[in-house]
Amino acid sequence: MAAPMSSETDRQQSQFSANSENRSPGFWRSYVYKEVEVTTVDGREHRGWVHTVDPVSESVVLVHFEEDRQKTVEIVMGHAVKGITVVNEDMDSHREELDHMFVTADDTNFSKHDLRTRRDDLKQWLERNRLPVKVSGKEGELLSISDALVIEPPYSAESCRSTNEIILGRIQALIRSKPTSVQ
Amino acid sequence: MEDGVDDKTQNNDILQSTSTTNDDRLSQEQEDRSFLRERFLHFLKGIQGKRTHFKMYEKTEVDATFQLSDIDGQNFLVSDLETPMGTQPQAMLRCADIISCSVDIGTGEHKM
Repeated sequence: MAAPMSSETDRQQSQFSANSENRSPGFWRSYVYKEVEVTTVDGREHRGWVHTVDPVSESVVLVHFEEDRQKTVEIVMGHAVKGITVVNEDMDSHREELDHMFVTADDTNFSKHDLRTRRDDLKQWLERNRLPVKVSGKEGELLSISDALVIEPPYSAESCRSTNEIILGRIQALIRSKPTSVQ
Repeated sequence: MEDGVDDKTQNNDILQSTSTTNDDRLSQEQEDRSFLRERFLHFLKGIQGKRTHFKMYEKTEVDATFQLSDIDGQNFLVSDLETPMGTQPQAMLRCADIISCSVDIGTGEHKM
């Protein structure tokens, strides 16, 4: 059953009639986890649960959940959107499912102890390869390589953050080539 | 005059609280922005290699395997694009021409 629409929703709906300026990320975030109907410039309607809205292109990513667990995801391009109406405000009904979509095996949860072991293991490997690596971060959860690159938990190749593409590529390759137990 | 001084202090307080509120607002905006963008990037990675149905302007609809988006989100790189003239092994679709894309992601948890 669709939850009754509040006056805030009416405001959301009417606020979105003119498509001239870029809206704030907070505005788009308020749609996430809700079921909406998006009308596009060609007159079509796209219904689904909002996984996210790209703040750059304002494209809406919708998920359709079918009875037989078949899931379809649809992205409606920002430039084609004419309007959005909230159909179901219940953000909890599909929140967990939406959060777990597109999540890779890398994002699995590790225990604190495991994370510490992984961190030290990787630190040893990087030091073995003559890289200036330091433990940093508020709780010592980060590994930083001379301010150029930071590695977050769970310390996989995908956990690296850097503004330098070349360094990023090299470190990622190095992490991938790490043997499973560093002696 | 005493009133004038009080007004000035009040104004300064207002300016102070406004700039703090602005900082809070900006930081919240950034947090919202990264929340949304990160999910979007995961989505793009998640549909990579999947058969996608593209609805375009002028009632055109095509099927292709989604590969990549360019950094600006202006173009999508696809493979095995089905056209009336046959299947194109590699092609680039302009995002400006696309209205929506749908992908079947199957049952159960998505694992890469």
